[in-house]
Amino acid sequence: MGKQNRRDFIKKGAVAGGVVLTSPIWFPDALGFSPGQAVAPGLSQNGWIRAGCPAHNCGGRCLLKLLVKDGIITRIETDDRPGDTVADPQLRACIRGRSYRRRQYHTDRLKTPLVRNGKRGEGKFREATWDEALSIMAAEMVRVRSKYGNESIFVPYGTGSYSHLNGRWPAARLMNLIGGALEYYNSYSWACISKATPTVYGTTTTGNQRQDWLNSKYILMWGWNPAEMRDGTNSEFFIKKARENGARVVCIDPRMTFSAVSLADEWISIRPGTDTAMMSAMAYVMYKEKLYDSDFVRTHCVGFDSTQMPKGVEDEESYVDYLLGKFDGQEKSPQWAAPITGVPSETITRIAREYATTKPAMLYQGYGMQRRAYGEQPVRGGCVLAAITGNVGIHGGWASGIAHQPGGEPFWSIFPTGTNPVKAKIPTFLWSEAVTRGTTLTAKEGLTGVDKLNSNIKFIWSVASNILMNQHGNVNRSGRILENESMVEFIVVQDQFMTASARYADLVLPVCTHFETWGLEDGWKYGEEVILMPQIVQPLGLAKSDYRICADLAARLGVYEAFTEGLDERGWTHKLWDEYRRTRFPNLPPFEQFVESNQGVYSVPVSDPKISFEEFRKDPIKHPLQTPSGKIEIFSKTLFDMGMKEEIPAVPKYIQEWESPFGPEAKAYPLQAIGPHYMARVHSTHDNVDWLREAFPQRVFINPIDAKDRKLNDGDRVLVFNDRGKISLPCRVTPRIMPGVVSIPQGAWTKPGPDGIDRNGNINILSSERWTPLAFGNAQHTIMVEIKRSKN
Amino acid sequence: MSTFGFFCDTSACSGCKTCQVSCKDKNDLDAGIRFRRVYEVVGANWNKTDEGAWEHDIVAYNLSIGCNHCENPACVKACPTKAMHAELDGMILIDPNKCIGCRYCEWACPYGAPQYNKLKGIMQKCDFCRDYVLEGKPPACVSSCPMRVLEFGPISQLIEKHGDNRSVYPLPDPSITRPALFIRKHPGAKLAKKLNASIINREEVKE
Amino acid sequence: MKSSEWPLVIFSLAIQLSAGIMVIYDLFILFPMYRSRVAFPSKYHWILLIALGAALVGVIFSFLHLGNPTNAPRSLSNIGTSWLSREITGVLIYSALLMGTTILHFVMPSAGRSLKWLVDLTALTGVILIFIMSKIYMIPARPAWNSVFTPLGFYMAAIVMGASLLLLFQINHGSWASQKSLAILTISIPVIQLAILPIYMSWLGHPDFAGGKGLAILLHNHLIAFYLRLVLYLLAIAFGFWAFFTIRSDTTQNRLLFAPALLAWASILAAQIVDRLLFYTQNISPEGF
Ligand SMILES: Nc1nc2c(c(=O)[nH]1)N[C@H]1C(S)=C(S)[C@@H](COP(=O)(O)OP(=O)(O)OC[C@H]3O[C@@H](n4cnc5c(=O)[nH]c(N)nc54)[C@H](O)[C@@H]3O)O[C@H]1N2
Ligand SMILES: Nc1nc2c(c(=O)[nH]1)N[C@H]1C(S)=C(S)[C@@H](COP(=O)(O)OP(=O)(O)OC[C@H]3O[C@@H](n4cnc5c(=O)[nH]c(N)nc54)[C@H](O)[C@@H]3O)O[C@H]1N2
Ligand code: SF4
Ligand code: SF4
Ligand code: SF4
Ligand code: SF4
Ligand code: SF4
Ligand SMILES: [Mo]
Repeated sequence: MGKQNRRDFIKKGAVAGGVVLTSPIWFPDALGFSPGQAVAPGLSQNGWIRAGCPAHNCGGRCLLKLLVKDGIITRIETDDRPGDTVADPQLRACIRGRSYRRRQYHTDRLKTPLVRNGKRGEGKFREATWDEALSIMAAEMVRVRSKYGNESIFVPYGTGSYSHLNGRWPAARLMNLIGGALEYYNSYSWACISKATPTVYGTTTTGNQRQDWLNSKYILMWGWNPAEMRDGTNSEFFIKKARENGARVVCIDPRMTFSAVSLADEWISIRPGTDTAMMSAMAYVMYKEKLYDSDFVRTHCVGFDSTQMPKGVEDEESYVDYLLGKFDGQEKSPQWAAPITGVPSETITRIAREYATTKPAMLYQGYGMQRRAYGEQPVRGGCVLAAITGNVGIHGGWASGIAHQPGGEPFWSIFPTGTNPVKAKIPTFLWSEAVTRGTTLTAKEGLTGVDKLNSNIKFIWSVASNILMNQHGNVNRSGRILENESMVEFIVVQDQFMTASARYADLVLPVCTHFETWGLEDGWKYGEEVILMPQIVQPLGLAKSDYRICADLAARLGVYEAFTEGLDERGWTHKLWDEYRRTRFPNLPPFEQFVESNQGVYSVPVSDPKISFEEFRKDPIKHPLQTPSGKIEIFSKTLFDMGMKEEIPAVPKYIQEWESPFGPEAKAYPLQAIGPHYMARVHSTHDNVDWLREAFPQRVFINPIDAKDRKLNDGDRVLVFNDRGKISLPCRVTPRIMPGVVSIPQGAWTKPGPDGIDRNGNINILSSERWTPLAFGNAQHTIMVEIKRSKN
Repeated sequence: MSTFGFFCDTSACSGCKTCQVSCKDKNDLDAGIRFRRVYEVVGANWNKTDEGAWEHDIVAYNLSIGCNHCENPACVKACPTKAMHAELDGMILIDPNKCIGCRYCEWACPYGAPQYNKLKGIMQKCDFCRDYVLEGKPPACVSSCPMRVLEFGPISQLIEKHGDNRSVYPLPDPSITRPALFIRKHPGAKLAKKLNASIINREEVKE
Repeated sequence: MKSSEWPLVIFSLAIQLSAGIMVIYDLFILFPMYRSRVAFPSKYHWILLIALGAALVGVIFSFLHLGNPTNAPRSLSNIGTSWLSREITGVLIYSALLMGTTILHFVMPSAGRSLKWLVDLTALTGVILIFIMSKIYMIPARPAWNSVFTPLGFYMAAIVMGASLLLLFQINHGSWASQKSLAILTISIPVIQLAILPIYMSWLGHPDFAGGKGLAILLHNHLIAFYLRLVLYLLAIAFGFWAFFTIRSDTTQNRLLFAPALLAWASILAAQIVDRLLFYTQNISPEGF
């Protein structure tokens, strides 16, 4: 066929393969197929079934379409709803969702309960029946409870499942039915940002709905990497759309991230842990050049300058006093900030001007920079910049802070866990303190609900969690604590794989995947949708759902009826669905009808995005904030009254971190190591998936300048080490990270060799258990290391 | 003389490789065989300033490439068995029953598209998801892209919509094979040559 | 060095050795005899056997290179555009001619002179075949191969392997002139190869050409092989000279020639193997695609 003919072939709509091709349909945005045979989900059905991507704690919530054949998932696609508009975009899965078959059918899936028969941590187990396993567990639980009380039982933080009735929720429900367990508050994710945001705004609901980003003209992605960590499915897509609307986007990050490459007009490399210095210098420029929104500051804020100080602290250091160095003699000028941050002073000045004068503008903070030594400070610093530029309560603006969306707090689970009879709560990150010296903890270490604990943690039931030996700071220390059988007397790990944490368990319980049971999910942080997760295949081996395991355990503990309310997984899913119909999504179709329709997702289009602080902005007197002053607290008297101004200043300040390139520790360990959240994994979940490893192997990323100093070539295996441990992994030499900083994506499975050196590259071998002063949060990104070439 | 082509907006491709894996899932490919590959192009200069800060000139962008179903396919020309052939609709396919696994197409293709399957002893390659396209569905990679930077369609339509640019640094001169690959350039591409940019993720795109 | 390249190394060297033998035999041994109307001595027949053996080794290894040899006959189906198809066809034609020639020489030992045209034809086919082989590598997608250096290298390999081998087999017979000229070839080709090397390397290293990656690969990943090849060339030259100076006018008394000629041939063969392995390291796509 000649050239002409081939073109004609399409134009005329010739018949090919029995299907008529006509030209206009060939653009993806015009495509809205519903291909193949759609069937209602349920077991032993063949065909395409829609379901939520297994709800690990991944930053997104997406729709999958699974081709099931003879009880096996044979292909995975994603949302193909026609339209794909900004108001109601397709929930397109990421690389992890698309790889899921390799996790689902991984040969290492746990298929039977396991009982330890070696030393703890040695990894020796024997197989057991469910009956034996659960009997042991129930007996141990009863024993420990009667000896040490319910406060000694702990169900740690664990984000493996956010399918509403899987993961740790049913475990929490069961514990609450049998006298409760030690509770925790805040998270590994957001400790500082969720604590510090309300000190400025009195709330965590400081965000706008994401569709509003399209109204912005200037976007600072400050340590925020939505193209890799998503932060709600489609965040990256919305920023792309905002750019198409003319927004200028600047990324401030030690790494030239996926987002910097694909979404930003400019990348500014900043030294980790110094953001508040740059923020202060930007405020300094705005103050000096009178670029800040003085009207808004006067009417809506307190503590900006000395004229605005709260009662009783009139003579204390206002924000402007800090900027001008009135108390410490140091002006927070760009010249001051440049050597600290590594950002040239002209750049700081220029960004300050751009952000202050381009209206409306967003300063979006990522969470990596608050998982650091003084992680509270950049959170407050960002909020203050948003406030003094008047970007609060307007379309296209952004108040910064944790930015939950109005009307849509992350729900994550509406499974009713009941109330915990145990009143004591510890900060999430301090569980290892509660193990080693729980009874000595006080309010100074964040203990709430009680003055004192009656017992250290004696029983750990770890569900959907790899915190114990992988995700907590200083894994080697955790190992020393956990292997001591006189400290924690019994450890149960409930997972799908033999994780590092599972290796330290006395009892390992095999859990099925989300495709093997019923469930439900909603947006990770944003999003107006609810996604159904029907059971589409049978559990592998003897694996059971978290819910079923808890129910069976409840039977042994005599609370079966109270626990199950007579419902199975599907029954609960139905019940939760109805709960949503009653509350958040009144127009949700009835459950059975929805199941039948095989739609998978119900979403509410957002064409008129809500914004936070709209009313406060209009009338701050009539609609005051929940802060003590009712206004935006640039100076927080609450923090001032804590009397720890070095570590918890009342205005956001740059504080040199406890491990820093400017401290004495930099002599032995001159490189800052950060552990970003990696495309290939959700934390430690997916680390064993070959398609993901192939796409994104675990490596340490290092700038060519640092590599040259150490005579490293791209691909060399290197040893990364500090006083806490050693890991060995290949290096990627790349100019996409600033000199002096290395990045070791967090979440690699701990795999120590006989010499104690971890050969898989878990950064938590190097990170520390020290917590932040105000939020008691994890500061796992604040570490110094050295690197050298390694032989093996 | 292909009829269909791909469009890739390299200015907004994040390098997330969802396209690569959605393709692997559709085609059941083991690790090591990538019908679609995402190449990371990077070039930079780092300098310490007098203030003790860091300045950089840097470009980085990604190229997501399957087979370009070229209008002048070097692979087809090279193949001794005619296993590699052009369909009437212009898609370049490999007939597994004819392939002898000589790997010559792999040499001939300037885009690294043909992928050798060691177990089967034959070459495999992106087939444009021909079954899907004939069904009226987009190829798996195209409909997977979370950034919506991939498109496909008849060449004439792609040209009409995006212009006839088939290359960006450091892709080969399009005159070699006339790839049915249309590209929106990343703004950084202007500096790529000056900054001596190159593909830096070799271990991710090749065995 | 990747083992997957060995079949290609052996295949290409074997075919080139075979063709080299035929060309040298034809030009340097048969042709002078033909001109001086000497009867062709039958003792040369085993040279044809060696050439045939080499060709068959080549054919076998060309199969080993295939992932799916069961389909091999199909490789003849695209001589219209595929140089590989042409090569395989060429190898078959060449081998068939060579086999025919050899068989005829053996079954009709007296036909000698009158079969010269067959040797001519086989040698000419060999020359064309080497050109076809080099065309396989002269593709835009492999810029480090896509130059005149490729056919040049292949021809030189063929000639020097053929010449040095025939020199070895000329000991104690053959003419003084042919021994001398074979020795000169044995010396001068490595000399030319050495002389070309800097030109080749500066071409490889040119930044416009794949960013100089070919050179980087040579010098970083394969430095030992690179030096080994230089040493082998120098050895070949040295042995070649040694051989040259041991050649006596009484060619039937050239026992002393054996050692240097053997060493020269061995170092040349080794040099060509290393050379060819290094050639395959230049299998680089433009910019790493
Ligand atoms: N692919 C993927 N996505 C995920 C997750 C995952 O594991 N994988 N996890 C999910 C979860 S639970 C969470 S909590 C979120 C986490 O989301 P984030 O906490 O925002 O993610 P991080 O990668 O830790 O950090 C974001 C960026 O901050 C940068 N950074 C680190 N230190 C500093 C600093 O001091 N200053 C500045 N300016 N930047 C800094 C890092 O280079 C990184 O690019 O991600 C969610 N999404
Ligand atoms: N150095 C460093 N450390 C960090 C971070 C960091 O940035 N840097 N980030 C921190 C953050 S933000 C977080 S959120 C934590 C996350 O830490 P974790 O909450 O421990 O998350 P994962 O490591 O993904 O472990 C989840 C486990 O649940 C299992 N799982 C999956 N689905 C199910 C299920 O349905 N049921 C059950 N029972 N198990 C299931 C998985 O196999 C996996 O082993 O890590 C923290 N650790
Ligand atoms: S973002 Fe999360 S929910 Fe979406 S596909 Fe990826 S892993 Fe699954
Ligand atoms: S899926 Fe899209 S954004 Fe991701 S690498 Fe492929 S083309 Fe780029
Ligand atoms: S990209 Fe390569 S394999 Fe595909 S048609 Fe073009 S030359 Fe052939
Ligand atoms: S490997 Fe197969 S498709 Fe490729 S050139 Fe050889 S025969 Fe043709
Ligand atoms: S068109 Fe199909 S085969 Fe080709 S790269 Fe895309 S998904 Fe893979
Ligand atoms: Mo998190």
